[in-house]
Amino acid sequence: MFNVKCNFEAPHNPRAQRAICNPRPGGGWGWGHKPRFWTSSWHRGGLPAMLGRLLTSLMLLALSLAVQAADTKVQALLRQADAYRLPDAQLQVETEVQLFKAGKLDKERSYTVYVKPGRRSLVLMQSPSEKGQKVLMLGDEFWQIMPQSQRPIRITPLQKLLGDASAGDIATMTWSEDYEGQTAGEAKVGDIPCLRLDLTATRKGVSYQRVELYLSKSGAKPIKADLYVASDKLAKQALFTIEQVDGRPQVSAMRLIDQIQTNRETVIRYLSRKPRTIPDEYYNPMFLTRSDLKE
Amino acid sequence: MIMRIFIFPWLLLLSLSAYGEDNGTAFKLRAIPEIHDANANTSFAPALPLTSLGKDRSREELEMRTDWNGVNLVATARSTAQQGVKPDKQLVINELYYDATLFGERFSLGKKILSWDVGFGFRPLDVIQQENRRSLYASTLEGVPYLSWEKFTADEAWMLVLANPGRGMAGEPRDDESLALKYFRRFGNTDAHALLRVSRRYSFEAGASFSSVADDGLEWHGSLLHQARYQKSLNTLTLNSGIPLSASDPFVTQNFRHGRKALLGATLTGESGLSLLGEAWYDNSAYTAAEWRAAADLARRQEALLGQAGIPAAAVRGSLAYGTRYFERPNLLKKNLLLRLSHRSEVESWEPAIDVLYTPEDGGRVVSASLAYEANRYRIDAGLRLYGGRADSAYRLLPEKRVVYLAIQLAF
Repeated sequence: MFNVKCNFEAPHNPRAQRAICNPRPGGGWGWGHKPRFWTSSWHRGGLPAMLGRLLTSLMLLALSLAVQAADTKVQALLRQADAYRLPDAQLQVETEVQLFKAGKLDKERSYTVYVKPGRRSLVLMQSPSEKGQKVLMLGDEFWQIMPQSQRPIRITPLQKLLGDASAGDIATMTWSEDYEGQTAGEAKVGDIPCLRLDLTATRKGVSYQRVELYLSKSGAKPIKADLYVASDKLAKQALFTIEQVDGRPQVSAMRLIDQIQTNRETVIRYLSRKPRTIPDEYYNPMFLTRSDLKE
Repeated sequence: MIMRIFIFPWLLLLSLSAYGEDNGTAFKLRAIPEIHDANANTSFAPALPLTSLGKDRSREELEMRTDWNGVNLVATARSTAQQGVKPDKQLVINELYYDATLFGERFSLGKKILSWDVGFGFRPLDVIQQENRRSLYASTLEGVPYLSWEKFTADEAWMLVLANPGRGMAGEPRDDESLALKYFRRFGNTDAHALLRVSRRYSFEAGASFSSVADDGLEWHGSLLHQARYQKSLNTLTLNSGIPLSASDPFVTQNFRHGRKALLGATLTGESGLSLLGEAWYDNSAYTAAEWRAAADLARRQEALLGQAGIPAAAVRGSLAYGTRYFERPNLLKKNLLLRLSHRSEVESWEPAIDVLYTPEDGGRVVSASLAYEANRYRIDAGLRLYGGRADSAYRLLPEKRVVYLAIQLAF
């Protein structure tokens, strides 16, 4: 029986394979379903039908390889861009967040964020007004502990977004883990020639569901990002400052300009980044009541 | 002299602030004045001079949060003042504990806040911490002396706790010695908790709770606790057909079998920042509507004795004051409904909230409204609480009808 499904080689890129092999949503015919005329041609067994099949397979293979290559290229660019903010997979990041209203400093917060692969991060609030608060993020699931009651409680993605820890989350989000997308042309940001990437979140829990990311053509440095919330409203514009840190170019600050409340701005500064591996049990929500993590 | 009075606290704050910033110690200074309006339209009103109800008060607190070589400390220096009462000062150690790892096992000992339930208005599974959920402005809780062994994996946690070791059955339930085993497991978007506790007061307690996130903005939760035994204080004067007065405390504590507490609730949060919380709970250790009718009837009979020849007014007021112990329960009635609407935004500094607690058995209600403003180093909370409902409801019997409060907090 002829089966278009996975005769061509796409096993190394599950996303490309999914795109090609799965039926289209909504119940219409996708490439994973066998077109009827092919089936009948095969049963008739004629040479034109075989050539037709070969040609179609080659076209599909070329398309698959093109999708795979484009996808791989975007992912490679995102990994490269991530490395300017998070140079290691497991990190302890110290950040300082300043919120400005009409150009005046409104709030200043500092966070220690522990990052681990698998979209796991643990945010410890360090400012005097928030000391003792912690937020745990495991993929799309979130917990918060307040020092007054020492009770780890589940919060929804929207509650997390409305809370102060969302700034810490933005500082350590990984585009390559949380987004997929494509290159959408070139543009200049200031004097810097950039590639524009249109990115869509691969999970619901991220703060911004769509991102238009501008990476420098030279070195894929993050220059600017337009951040859209779930309703596709432009919420913030991020501008990145890159400086030499520890002998290599790294993002030293992010400036988030609010596009809804236009007189508000957030500046996130990376105070330090160092490799730090903490055990899996530290990412258990009940572990938030313990004080084993210091610094 | 005046200069010295004003300069000293500021010098103290400045030096504490410098100390805190140097070593990661955080301080919070709070001032919380409260204005209480008495309810003169209740039979309990003549007892007001003998109770703390209906009296203006204030408290000032300096809270310190620090850690040193793995020892964690939260302490509060508190000064309280109440209309007609001598001001009081106290130092409270909220938490003082050490988390240790020995031979790969996790231990913890000291004094710590051990809150275990998932509810907001009522927490059936807070069998050890037992906090007052009806406080107007909650400061940091005072923990419980304990010793624990804990075991964690990525998704599971076990905790065996010996709370208040050596205390046996203490004067207050929260000070009771008890042994508790708590289990936690995460199932995808749902947390599940289970516990067993043994204490002399309640014998065996078993409970379970869950909290689940259904989508981006919807969370729902529930708790259930079964107690082999529970206690209730009953006023013996309600059973007395003679002169309903007593020179000593007429309340007796009685044991009952099969205590049950249950709670079900949900929180819905929108992109706008509006959040709606709804909770319903049941507590069979609370008084029934019939018990409240008996309490109201007794208070009316006692009030009627005022001014009668041969009956000292002080005895009547004293007996009525004992009767206000009815209002000390965490839940005044068995069935309770809570609805809370609040708004929080990522960019706004204002946080308004309004909630209504309704007791369907007697039509009583408590309405609370608050507004908070948070700046960089300070936070201001202001609120109002109104007690009301049907004329014979428990909350209308309360000799207080309104509380207004202000809380100013400075963090450094």
